[in-house]
Amino acid sequence: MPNHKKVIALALEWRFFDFADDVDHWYGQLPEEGKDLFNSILKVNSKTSNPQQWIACKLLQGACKSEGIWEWYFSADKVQQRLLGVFGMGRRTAVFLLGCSHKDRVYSPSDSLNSAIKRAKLLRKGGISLRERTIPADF
Amino acid sequence: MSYIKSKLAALVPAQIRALRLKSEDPSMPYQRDLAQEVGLHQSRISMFETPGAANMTLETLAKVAAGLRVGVIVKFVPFSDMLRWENLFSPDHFNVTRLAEDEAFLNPERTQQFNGEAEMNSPENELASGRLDPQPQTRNSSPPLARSGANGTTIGAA
Repeated sequence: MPNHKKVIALALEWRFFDFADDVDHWYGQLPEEGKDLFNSILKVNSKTSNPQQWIACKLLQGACKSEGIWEWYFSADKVQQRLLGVFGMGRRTAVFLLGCSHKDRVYSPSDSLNSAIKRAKLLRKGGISLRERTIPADF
Repeated sequence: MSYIKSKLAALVPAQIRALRLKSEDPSMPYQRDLAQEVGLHQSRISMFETPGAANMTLETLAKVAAGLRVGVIVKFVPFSDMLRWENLFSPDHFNVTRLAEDEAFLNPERTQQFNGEAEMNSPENELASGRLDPQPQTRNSSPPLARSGANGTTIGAA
């Protein structure tokens, strides 16, 4: 019976995928505190069934909204970090399109939103190989 | 230090958000509802729910707890306990009894009486008073390690 429960619990967790290597590059540039915080957010949100109740997540407005692009936002070392992504590609899956920083309503790199829109369109067309992001286990 | 800070920076906002969204009396579907209860601006609540955005003081934590009608414990624990707690924490299942439904707080005598009766009838007491044969008790109780192991498997996977 415990094994049976385990299978159900695993199936209910969200899985996260990277669109390209530069998501990992963005992650690599985060300070240690930012990496730990990002992994904690991943861990918490993966266990929250309704993404509307995720912490640090909102649907973007304007052109991004029509592409279904949302952003995760958090702050590490006093720098606002943003991760743009979309839902879909399977049940309980989310795809990170790119990571960037944010200050005074300006994204850095400045073309982040346009790049995210392009990537969301490419993703819909298909043929993009995604890499699953694993949540490091601390314990 | 940054490691502990990053854990708190995700888990405190997650708890506040989960409790706000589950609040029924008063209902708090929006951040402004909690802001009103706490006596702060909505933007502050937004910061409290954003990982890493706010350095919350104990005073602020107490204010938010009062607004949510719950208590708050700040407790030093071993690292392993902290990480185990993070692994087990799930916003879907996290909820706290609110003040209005907190029987142990509202009716302490009744609760104590109930607990006392339960204690009186506990196997340990029955064993001590000689009313219970120790042999069947040993047979029926599962080892604590096995119980926590089974529980850990289920929740740890969630």
